[in-house]
Amino acid sequence: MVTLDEVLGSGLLQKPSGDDAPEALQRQITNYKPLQTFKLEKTRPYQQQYADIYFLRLTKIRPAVEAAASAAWEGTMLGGEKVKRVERVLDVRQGELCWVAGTVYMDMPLKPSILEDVSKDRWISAPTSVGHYYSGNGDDSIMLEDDSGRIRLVGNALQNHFMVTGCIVAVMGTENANGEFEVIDLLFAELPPQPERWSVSKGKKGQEQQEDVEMMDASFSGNPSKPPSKKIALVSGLEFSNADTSYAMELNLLLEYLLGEALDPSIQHNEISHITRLIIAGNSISTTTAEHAKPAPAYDTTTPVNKFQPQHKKYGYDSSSYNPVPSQLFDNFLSELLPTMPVTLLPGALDPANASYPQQPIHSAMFPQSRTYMSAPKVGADKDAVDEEPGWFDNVTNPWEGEIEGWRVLGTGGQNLDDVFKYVESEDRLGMMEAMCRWRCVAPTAPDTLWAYPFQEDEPFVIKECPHLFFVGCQPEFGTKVIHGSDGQAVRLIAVPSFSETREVVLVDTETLDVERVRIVAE
Amino acid sequence: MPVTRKSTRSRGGAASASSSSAASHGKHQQTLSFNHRVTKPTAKTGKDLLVEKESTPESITKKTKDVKIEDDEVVEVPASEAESEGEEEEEEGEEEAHAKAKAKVKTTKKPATQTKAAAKDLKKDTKAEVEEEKENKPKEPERSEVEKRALKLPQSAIDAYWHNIDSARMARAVHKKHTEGLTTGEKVLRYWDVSSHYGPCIGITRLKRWQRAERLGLNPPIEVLAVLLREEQNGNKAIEMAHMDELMNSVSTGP
Repeated sequence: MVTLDEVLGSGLLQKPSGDDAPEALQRQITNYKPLQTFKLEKTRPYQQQYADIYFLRLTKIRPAVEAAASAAWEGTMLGGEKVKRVERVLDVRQGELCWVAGTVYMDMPLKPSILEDVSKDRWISAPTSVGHYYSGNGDDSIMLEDDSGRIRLVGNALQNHFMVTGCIVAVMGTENANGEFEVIDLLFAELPPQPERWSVSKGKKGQEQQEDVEMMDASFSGNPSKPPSKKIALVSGLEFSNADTSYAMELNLLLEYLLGEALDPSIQHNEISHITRLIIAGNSISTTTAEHAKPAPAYDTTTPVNKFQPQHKKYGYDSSSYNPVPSQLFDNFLSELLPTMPVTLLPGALDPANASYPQQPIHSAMFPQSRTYMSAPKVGADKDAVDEEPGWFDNVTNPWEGEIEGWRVLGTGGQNLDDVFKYVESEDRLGMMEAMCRWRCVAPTAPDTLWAYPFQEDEPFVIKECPHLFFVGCQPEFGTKVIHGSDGQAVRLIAVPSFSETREVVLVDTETLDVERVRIVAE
Repeated sequence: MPVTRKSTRSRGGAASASSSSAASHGKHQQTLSFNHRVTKPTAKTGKDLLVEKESTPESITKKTKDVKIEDDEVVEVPASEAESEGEEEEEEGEEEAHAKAKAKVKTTKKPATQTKAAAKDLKKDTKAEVEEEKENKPKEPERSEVEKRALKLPQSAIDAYWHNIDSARMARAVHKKHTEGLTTGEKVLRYWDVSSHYGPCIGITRLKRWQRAERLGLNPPIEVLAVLLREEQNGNKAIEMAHMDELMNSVSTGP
């Protein structure tokens, strides 16, 4: 009988040459607590009026705006006249210097208006995506509205600020002879109060972290006892599809990169193993072959025999047009990645989730392989109960709010920013993100041009507590900025680029909230 | 066999077997009840509470044996209730008047004080049951602090509130004929509808709108809540939605 030692000596079996086998790299766990701010109940009614949304938004933000306005304008004298506060928009009198708070409404002829369509007897079944609502030729008018009425705003002061329908503003000025309100100065609510780090998951965790932080401060980097800084990866617009494969190679490389199989061991050890969570911010599945699709011909002209045979007209849902390949590809991607890294998935405009804001989580039925990593779907009495422990693979709402490593994070899949972009002339997307924070509203254009659920009891789009990190996915290019508030708030804004366009991934450091951009290039 | 059939059978059987027991006129009671024989206040058992609670709504509609049952309830409830508010004597003294008023509560119009007292009694009975019996589902929802305060509000306070609003008008009400058929309560509710400060009135019930305004800190007038709860207790469903809502939702037919 041959023993192992004899075999070893003979050259058939050999130990690996070189160093010992590299030890498997470990990933750390980040503290993760999603909030259910945007979750809607499954049996929600749709009987309500949309006007309630505007009422709720105004009532919630008005106190803050009026406090800021009275602090700024109280006692101001202009041309010998003192500025007075006016209760309602219609109480403005001609020639009287005053200030008033209300909701902005943009009256634009290019904006799709349901009233126009109904009156002209045209019925739109799908939203027509017009490029820009902003016409720039003076047809657009800005109005200030509250429960009493509306008044048109004019003046040069309006040019310096972004304005969209639904933002709450306080304006100071006077009514001129045309009945319009000439604006001398205007103010927004500015950033809301920012919670402390670790405010949601408080308790022991916060204290432990405190000790680590102290150690880090005491010693410079290079000290082996310093815990390595964890990173969060943000990506969006993966757009798995079977039609467009120009970036399929990069998607594969992305998977290898995140798994830690790419690049050399030193980088793997120092950088990649510190990535502790992946957040996918929308548009993971792309089923748009719409531009290539032609309407099905009425007659089957493919074969000469059937030339004049009418094709079967399919009524209702044509199941042959469903293409399961994109979601399968995405599911494969996730199931390979999930064993090593927790993933948070936000739906986007192209994903199979509901069309109106806030989008509810993508159903676990879309991911037959990755489903095992999700938390079990609740049935029966617990259907609407809040889950205690989020799943390893957490499918969440869009927009989404949560706490990662103590930092309050607010993220969206991009529809809100894209809609705001259509209202204004500039291209400065980061500036619009900053404006949304200062307006205290994540989706101000809902429900005007952004389809939304008719909230009646409470409107979750109002930002009550300032996030530490605000990211928006599916943007044309990467951008980041830090904005500051009057109370010491600091928000890191990140515009996450669409991977299918730019092949870029964003890494965020969980201690300093610094941002790195990683580009994946296949030569 | 459906449950209802069973109970009618047994009720029929029980009625024929023991006509002297108080169980004979209750649809649900399948056991002999000794409630009416207790003369001193005792701690209630779970079974008694079950029996008594289910008999409460029925006692209003039936007229003959009502007085007896209500006597028992009225005697027993304040003893077991933690907060009796010193009304024990009042109740025992006015038992007969109350019982009579209760029996007629749905059919005739009654003077304001008796209505209020009767309503309070009804509310207290159900409140006692709710407090003591946590396992069974309460028939009436728990009242919040504000709702309790609103229910205590007398009609005179509501009238005074309306008078203040009316006299604050700069011009006289010209078209009095449009408001002739309305009670003060209805006028208060219509004024509540058009108070746009609390949000749009269409597409939401008046009560929910009031609660939403309270939650948002807008301090809606408590008199409106008093009228709404009173009408709700009277079973008046017509006042749930704003009057304007009915007008807006109406469909016109014709050429």
